[in-house]
Amino acid sequence: MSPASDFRNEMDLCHFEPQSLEETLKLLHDMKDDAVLVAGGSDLMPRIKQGHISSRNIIFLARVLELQQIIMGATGEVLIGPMVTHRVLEGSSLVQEKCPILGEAASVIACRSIRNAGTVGGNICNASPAADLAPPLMVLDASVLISNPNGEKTVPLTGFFKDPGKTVLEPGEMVTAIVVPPVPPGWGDCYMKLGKRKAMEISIVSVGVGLVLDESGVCSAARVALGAVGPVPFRAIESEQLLAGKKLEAEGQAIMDAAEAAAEAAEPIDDIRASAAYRRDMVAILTRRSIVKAIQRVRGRS
Amino acid sequence: MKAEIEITVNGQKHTVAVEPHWSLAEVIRHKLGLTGTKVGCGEGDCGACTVIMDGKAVHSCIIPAFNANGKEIKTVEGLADNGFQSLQTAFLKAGAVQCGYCTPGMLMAVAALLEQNSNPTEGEIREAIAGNLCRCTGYTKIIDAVKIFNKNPNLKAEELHQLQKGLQGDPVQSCLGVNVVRKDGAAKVTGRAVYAPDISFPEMLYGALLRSPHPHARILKIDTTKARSLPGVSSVVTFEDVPPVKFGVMLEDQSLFAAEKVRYIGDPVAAVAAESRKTAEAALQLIEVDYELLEPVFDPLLAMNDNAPIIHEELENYQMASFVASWEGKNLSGNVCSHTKVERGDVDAALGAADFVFTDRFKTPAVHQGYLEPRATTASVDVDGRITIWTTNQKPFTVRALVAETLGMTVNKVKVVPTSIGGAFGGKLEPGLEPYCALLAFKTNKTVNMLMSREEEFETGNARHASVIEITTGVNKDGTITARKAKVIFDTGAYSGNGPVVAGLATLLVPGPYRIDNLKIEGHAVYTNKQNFGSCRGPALPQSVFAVESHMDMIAAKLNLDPLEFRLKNIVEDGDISASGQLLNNVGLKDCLLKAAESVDWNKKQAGVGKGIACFWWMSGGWPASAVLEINSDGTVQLITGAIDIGTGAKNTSVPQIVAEVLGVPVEHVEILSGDTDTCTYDHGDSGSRMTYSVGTVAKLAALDAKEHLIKQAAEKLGIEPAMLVLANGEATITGDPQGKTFSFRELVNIARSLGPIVGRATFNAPHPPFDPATVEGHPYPSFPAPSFGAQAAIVEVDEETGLVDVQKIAAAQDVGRAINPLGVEGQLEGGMVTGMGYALVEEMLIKDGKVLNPSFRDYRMPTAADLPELKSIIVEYPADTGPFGAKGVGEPPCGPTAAAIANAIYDSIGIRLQELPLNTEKILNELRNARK
Ligand SMILES: Cc1cc2nc3c(=O)[nH]c(=O)nc-3n(C[C@H](O)[C@H](O)[C@H](O)COP(=O)(O)OP(=O)(O)OC[C@H]3O[C@@H](n4cnc5c(N)ncnc54)[C@H](O)[C@@H]3O)c2cc1C
Ligand code: FES
Ligand code: FES
Repeated sequence: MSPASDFRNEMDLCHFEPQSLEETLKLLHDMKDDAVLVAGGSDLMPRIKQGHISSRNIIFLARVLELQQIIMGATGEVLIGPMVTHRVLEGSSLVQEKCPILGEAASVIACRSIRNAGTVGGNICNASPAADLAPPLMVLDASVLISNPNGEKTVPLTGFFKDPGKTVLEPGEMVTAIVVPPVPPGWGDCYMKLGKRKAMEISIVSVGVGLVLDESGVCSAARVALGAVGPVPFRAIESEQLLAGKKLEAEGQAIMDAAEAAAEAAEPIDDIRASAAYRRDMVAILTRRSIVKAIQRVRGRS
Repeated sequence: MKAEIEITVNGQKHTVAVEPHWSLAEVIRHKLGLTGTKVGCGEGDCGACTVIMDGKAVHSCIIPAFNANGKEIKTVEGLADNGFQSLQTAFLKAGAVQCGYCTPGMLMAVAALLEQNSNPTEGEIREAIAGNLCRCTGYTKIIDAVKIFNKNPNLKAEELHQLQKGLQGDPVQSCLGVNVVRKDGAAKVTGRAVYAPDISFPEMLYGALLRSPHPHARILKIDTTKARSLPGVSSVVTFEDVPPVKFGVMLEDQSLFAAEKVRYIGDPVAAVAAESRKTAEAALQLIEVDYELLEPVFDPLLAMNDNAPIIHEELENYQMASFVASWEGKNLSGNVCSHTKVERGDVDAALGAADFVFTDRFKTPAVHQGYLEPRATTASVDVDGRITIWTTNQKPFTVRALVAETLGMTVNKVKVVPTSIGGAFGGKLEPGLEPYCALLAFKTNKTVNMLMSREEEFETGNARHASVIEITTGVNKDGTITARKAKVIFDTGAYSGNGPVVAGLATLLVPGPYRIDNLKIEGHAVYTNKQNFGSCRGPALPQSVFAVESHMDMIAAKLNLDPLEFRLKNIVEDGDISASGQLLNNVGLKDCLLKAAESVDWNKKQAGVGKGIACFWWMSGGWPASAVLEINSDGTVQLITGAIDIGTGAKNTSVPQIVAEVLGVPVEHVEILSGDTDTCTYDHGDSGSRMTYSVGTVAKLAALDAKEHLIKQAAEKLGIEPAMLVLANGEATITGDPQGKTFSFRELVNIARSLGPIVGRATFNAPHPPFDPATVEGHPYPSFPAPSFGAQAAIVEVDEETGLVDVQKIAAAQDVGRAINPLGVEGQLEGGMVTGMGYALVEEMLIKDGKVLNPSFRDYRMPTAADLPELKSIIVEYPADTGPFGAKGVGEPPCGPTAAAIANAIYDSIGIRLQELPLNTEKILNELRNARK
């Protein structure tokens, strides 16, 4: 009873396993932009199996070691390779030190085994409105380094997503790094996601908050980013403006107003995971809680 | 295009040619033949496929094969060589293995954790296995196993032998009440147990079903020409290829293929066998079916209206299944395919006279059994025209009969080989792929394999019935219930299936385990254009208990009574009768209620925290069983029975324990043959909490029969009267013998065997306890053999802003009559509580216009290890008169009262009463908002 296989079916796919970024870019060039990049495969595998892919040429990035690093840049920014897995992000001491909110967000993705496979690049390039790394990266004002066979450019993450499943990446372009600038002094942040289970949950709503408080508790700058409540993750600018310049207290009006403004900014839809109304309400709750937590963290740190 | 990758698996290098779309799981299973790694979903959602890749646990079904190139992989088959043999042993010792389908993945997730962290906290263990679903165990014993391993990482496999005698390790006086390691355990922790999706043969074909895309339509024409001419296609079959046989559990309303009408999205229309699954699926696309769309009906209440579209025009002409004797199937018309009534006393008069009358209405959704192993079947035809079917089904003998009937064969030409079953919970009671697979094997004269995708499992399985239950209860000022009237409606989907039984059972459950003199309970199963709903762990029980026990608390609240006191005042006790007039005895209910309450500190109020309690009664399953038992020359024992084990372990622990106890031999001397329908005699199947009760009884009877032969033959040989030979504690003595001669069991066997083999045989069909026929009408199951009782209590905290319910603790106290294998009982209670918690809070098959919107483990959320509350199992023992050594059925009811206990706890916590499951966040918030208005 030896297990035979069901693999007499061919899908006519071509595979490539470049060993370096240079080789990858050359492949993209040679293929005239007709290729699909595979990172961890956690989003892509089921799609490839069902034939839901745009090209027959599959480039596996797993062997490109340069894309797997987390390093300090020249001006204090953290450069995260797109092939860094969620689990590595969680455990990175550099991330813990410079941008712990990313570790916080990575640690609530799916489960450990999925986090061992899923990558930062895959998470943002997949462009799910619920991608857990998107709001915290926006809170950190991160940008994306994009390369194509002819050069590279930097796009802020806020301008990276176009639609569910769609980014500004053109055929032949790829993400080669995520650039996280240093946070200012007096900074605190927090990421919260709402799901019905405590693991293996695609966010129903997610909120990232980052803010700067001065000695007297006045907020000099704030960022609020929302996930799963619009076609793409986005910053709730009105909410941020309502925080800036205000003295923030846990039950204070400024925080309530900012939370309400975030809910106003949300454009949720009804789907099988939650109703639009519930999502909107939860944006306010999570925003308020995240602000309070971020304030605690500023205080905890100073 | 294929290309080679190099992977090291369990220390061995392999070069494998792979396609870009292959996953690591496929390479491991199909190319390397290491089927210990399981696939439950293929989408990353269940963790059954977990392996270790370069030291890290990964879900191998979503890892592209190319991403594993150059990597070092460890699978369950290599676990023992990697120093984790004692972890495997710890899993068995802790009782962490039930169906075993999650086990290999679970072991690998834990091993990966332990490689990095040799002394993990409970939180770290939970986190490490949070992506590994287990529907059987409720995770607690898996976490226990890791703790046992941590305390004793040198637990050697040799100890397994010791463990098989009984986990205490002390010399065993009795084989009962002892924790015995399951006989199929070693195969399950090493990945050697073979499940249905693991079966494959060289050169086999792949079958696939064309299913209706419409919920209700007339078939005008089916054209298979194009599909037949697709290269690689061996056979295309439709209704024209089978005899026009109708079948059904109670009512014969189903046929293999739709001929005139399709009645749900997923109704089989045609089947294809081809040289690959892809080709088979491509062929399905080429089958042209012209449909005339008919108006569908999805809501059972609307389906009961006079002007509703009729789903079965032929209803009144349908036959009853041949074995159905007690069910008259009365009043069938329109879309109502069963009507059962239980009536006693004068309910209207009693309601009129009651001090208070309360009416409440409850709704429950369809939920899936959530077994991890998808259905799979392989069929092969012999030269002599016999067919062999390997399959994962709870009733191999029913499969055999149905295949024979629908394909026009005699029963003895069909051989069904049950594989290890990766969970079922009632979902694999009805024959599924088997007749189609057999038909395709006949048509092609080749071995044919069929496998359901997870999506297909959700869309076309036999999930738990949705229900609408309205209850009216009359109560006196002092809290005595005087009357109850109820109407229960079960949405049975496109076919009746088990619906009539389930609706019937509800009429006995909705009265609750309460003393009520005036009753009128009506149950209906109603057709709708949805999948055929079926049995699920305690069919009708969680639905009924949610309604009854919520209703009880609502009454208690209005009368200002303590919910526990109110129950204690009304529960049945020894000497009371059930709704249908069955005399009850050995009722452990009061004890269960008190113990469950105690374990949540019932009388201690805590701010913000809510406590709830709920109780139930249920049956020990009967139905026919048979067994043959031989005592071998060395005194060891062979039990042969067609009974199987869907995971509970009853057949692999309790049944051999019972045999060992009867014969006075050690448990490890008893082997049970896991056979097929050729080699074993008939058994009804693994269902209805009947394994320990019915199979245990038949095994006991067969052992007694063998014992009688043993003594008779030995006495004859010794030239004494049989009555003079006394066999006790594994030793025989001749009474009245001046020399006080004794023989060991083995010596006695040898003496007896000199006159011929020693074989016992028995059949058993638990009689239905007497009931009052005047009280029931159209009842398929009017009384409960050896009823069991139980109660659960829950502690919850509700986040009033998000509506999230945090279940902190669930305690289950269940009267199991006699716990033959206490560890196994605990495993059933824990698994049931977690399944019940899922039912309470999140699980729901979202069905819109007949289409399942969440057919995946990602969107159909079963609780994970991260969601696990503290669980407390309390075993209560009021031995049954009829069960083997007093045992009652155990397996189904533990998921029954959980939702009600949680609903009641939510009310206690925030004053919100939800009458529709699941008790989800949005409903809670809406109610809170309404309450504030
Ligand atoms: C069971 C399960 C649970 C999940 N739970 C969560 C969750 O809780 N939260 C969450 O956010 N996500 C979740 N996901 C989604 C997914 O795991 C993550 O989004 C993950 O980060 C994707 O990374 P990947 O490396 O696996 O991506 P892949 O599947 O390899 O790729 C995803 C997409 O990104 C593109 N891509 C990858 N790298 C690049 C690059 N460098 N340049 C350009 N394009 C690129 C690919 O072409 C593809 O379109 C879950 C997935 C599964 C299977
Ligand atoms: S089979 Fe891989 S996660 Fe379910
Ligand atoms: S033992 Fe875990 S799923 Fe059955």
